[in-house]
Amino acid sequence: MYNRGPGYGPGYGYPPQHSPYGQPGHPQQGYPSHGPSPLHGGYPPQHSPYPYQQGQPAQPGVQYYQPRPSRQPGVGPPHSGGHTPQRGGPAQRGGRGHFANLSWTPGDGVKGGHLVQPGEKTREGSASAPQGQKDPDPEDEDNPFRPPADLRADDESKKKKVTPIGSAGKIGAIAKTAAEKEAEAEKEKNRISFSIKGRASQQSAPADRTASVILKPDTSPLVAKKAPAPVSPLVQTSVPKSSNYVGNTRIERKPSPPPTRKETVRKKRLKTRPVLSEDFKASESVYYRKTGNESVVGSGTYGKVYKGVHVYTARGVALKKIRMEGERDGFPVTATREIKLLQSLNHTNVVALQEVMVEKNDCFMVFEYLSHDLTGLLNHPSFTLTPAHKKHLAKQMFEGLDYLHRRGVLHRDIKAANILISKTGILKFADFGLARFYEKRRKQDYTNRVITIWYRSPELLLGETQYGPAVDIWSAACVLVEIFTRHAIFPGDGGEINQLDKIYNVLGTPSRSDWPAISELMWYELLRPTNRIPSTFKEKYGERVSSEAFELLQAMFLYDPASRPTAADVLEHPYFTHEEPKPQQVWELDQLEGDWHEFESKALRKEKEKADKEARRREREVSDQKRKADDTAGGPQEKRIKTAEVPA
Amino acid sequence: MADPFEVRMRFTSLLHHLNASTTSALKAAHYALKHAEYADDLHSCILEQLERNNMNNRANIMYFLPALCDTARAKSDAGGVGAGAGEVYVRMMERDILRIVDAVAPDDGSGAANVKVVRRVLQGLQGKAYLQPQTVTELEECIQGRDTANAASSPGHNHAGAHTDGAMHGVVRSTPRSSARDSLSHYPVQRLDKRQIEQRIEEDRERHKRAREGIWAIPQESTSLREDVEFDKMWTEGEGDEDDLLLAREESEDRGRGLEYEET
Repeated sequence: MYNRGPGYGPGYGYPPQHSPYGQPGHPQQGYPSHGPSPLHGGYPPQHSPYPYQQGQPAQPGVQYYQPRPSRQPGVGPPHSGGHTPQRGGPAQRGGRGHFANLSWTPGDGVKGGHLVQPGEKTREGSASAPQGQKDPDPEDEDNPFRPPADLRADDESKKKKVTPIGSAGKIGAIAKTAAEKEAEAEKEKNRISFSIKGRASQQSAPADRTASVILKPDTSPLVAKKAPAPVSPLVQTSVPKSSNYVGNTRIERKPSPPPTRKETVRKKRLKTRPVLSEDFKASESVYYRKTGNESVVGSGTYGKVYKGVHVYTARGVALKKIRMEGERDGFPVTATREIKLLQSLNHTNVVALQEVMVEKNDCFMVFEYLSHDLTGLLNHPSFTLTPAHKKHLAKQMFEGLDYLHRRGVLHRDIKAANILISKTGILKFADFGLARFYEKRRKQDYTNRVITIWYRSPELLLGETQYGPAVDIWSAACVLVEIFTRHAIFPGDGGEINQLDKIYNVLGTPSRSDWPAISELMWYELLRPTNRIPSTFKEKYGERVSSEAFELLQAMFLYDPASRPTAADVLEHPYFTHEEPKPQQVWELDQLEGDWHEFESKALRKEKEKADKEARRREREVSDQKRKADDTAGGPQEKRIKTAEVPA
Repeated sequence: MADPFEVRMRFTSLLHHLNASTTSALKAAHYALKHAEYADDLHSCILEQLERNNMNNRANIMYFLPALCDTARAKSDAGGVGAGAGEVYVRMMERDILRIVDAVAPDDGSGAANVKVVRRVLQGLQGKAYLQPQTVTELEECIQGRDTANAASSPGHNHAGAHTDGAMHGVVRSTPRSSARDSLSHYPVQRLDKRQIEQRIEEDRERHKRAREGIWAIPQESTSLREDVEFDKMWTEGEGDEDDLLLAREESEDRGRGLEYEET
């Protein structure tokens, strides 16, 4: 439209620097040939009056519409803003793809502007469209299942088709009108297109009222005419503005239309609208969780973890509530650190942080939900892992660990309870509450009050503060033993001294030659063993694991952290690479009933203990009564029995 | 004016209750400075407590010394009443340092766990110029063998008296016997009991935590922005490697995903 040569000229008062635009024939290069393209939106305001100055009576509509790229003259799509495009299907993409970015598409199988369902049944000629126009379908019009966006998208594609056939004059009229009139016209078109759609759906799937048809733009007879438009300025001048636009949208598609009128009509069937269950409806949070403590799946110093379900997607999540009680300095910096760390991590074997949510003054970290953890699984009353399963779990553990260490992250709280297992046997590290980035290239001082004490390496127990990934390797080795034997290898009483004794009792006392730097450690003198103990590792574990696995464990349980293998080294070990059986994913978990976490197994144990206690108490009561009956006679005898009873 | 006896009692109690926190050390230091007129008395108090208490407490008193010196120095710098008196503590500490070291890390093996404490504190005192580097070097030599001291009843034990003699005169002598202690046969006579060990561990962690509070700081020598030590450090040390590549790749994948989402 700019290139309408005759009207242009310096005489129009263009600023000199713009004069080239006015020159006939030039515009193809300087401008995109399509009039209302988005580019125009970016023009400085002083350009907008140009069209008005054009003395072209034949194209009044052009003048009006030019500065408004989103509304096409004649076509007059009834859509508003960026609402429609995602439903528009391929027809609209060429012309207004840029709008698609602005709007979010509900996850109904349509991503962006792509139709997911390919043409279902109907190959429909474009001729059917005008037919449909005459044949409105009332049933469809008040179809409650059709979202409005759908309708509009449909309408638009229809309209493009309609315009050329139906009413050239009408277009002109609409174009000429002022804004209000245009709106009116749009409404009218809406109606028309409704009917078209109705017709189409009736034709194609009479029983299926949900179907909405989007006709390919190719169906329009205009296409053929329009296509050459950009090539020749002459054509452009002669073609009315509106068609010009359509022509532009066609440009990209032009090669695809087959010469025949037969078209694949892509149909979209709406899914039945999901209905929320009563519980979900009543849920105040988007993550539904059972009331009270029923939804708790874990708890610790950090706070509590709840199991939740997203009410719309039905995805399971674990909600970790960040404890704010007793925080004097506001949001705990440890939580910030954990969030930051997790956001930077992206690996199959590391639990994914989906979002952080603030709800009713509580802050939650939202994780993907995994049904089991390693402790729960290993303590499962009936389910047992095969050696191949164990190897697969071990492999995943070291793959995750290798990733963490490569990314410069020390987990610092690896233990069976912090390792989650999905229903498909995927292992993931969780709980990064103690994790931190570490300097790979130089030694730095970190706190040694880390890692649950059973899994804590000897150098940490002896006061090392300049440690590295080897501390995680030690913990992982402890976990590996648990995977193999279902028992913790160093179950101490919670104190450093006892913990070291447990280690010495299995691995023997460390010698200066094994670990030259041992005497440099801060608490070496405080905690050094009092006498030499030989290693009993081989007799304790040599028989319980395969030979390569034993060899691997031995390598990881070296006292000197510098001699322990890295996670990458571990993955290269013959246990993983050569020894049979090959790792095998624990698909069987799928059939396992319920969720098995440390939390549940603890509760189970507590319950059991309680029952035992109760049983013992009752037993005692019975014997007490018996004794009372017996004791009515002798005094000293009573005393003897009483003392004897105390330890029981 | 407080009763000298009472001052002595109070100070003794303060020393006895020293722990890893800064506040406990500062409290004792301020008390000592406040009663600087009894400096001699209070200093002997320190020595006395060092020789009487358990090893944990001796370590705590050792860590207290730098705090005392700092407070004293600060006070004399600030001037005012009794400004000079504060320096007395520093001088006395310097004079008796060998005796102090011997008390904190005795060479009978019982103080083996304290040797690292002594080293650390000595380094600190030297760093702040409360002690001559030469003195520190000699003291280091002196305590050298003591941390390997499985040496409870090793021959060197009886010579302990000679140390204190020398220390009393403020003459620093290196001990000729430290090298003789190679026989790794015995264990310390009295090990700290379990509770004390755990207490010590906690206190060391607390001290370490405080020490780390300043670890990130990079001393900036010049005020000119042209010489940015922090920047230089990053420039020289922060060369990229395959980890950075990995990170960059992940970020670009992320970005790609985002773009894909936007384009569709």
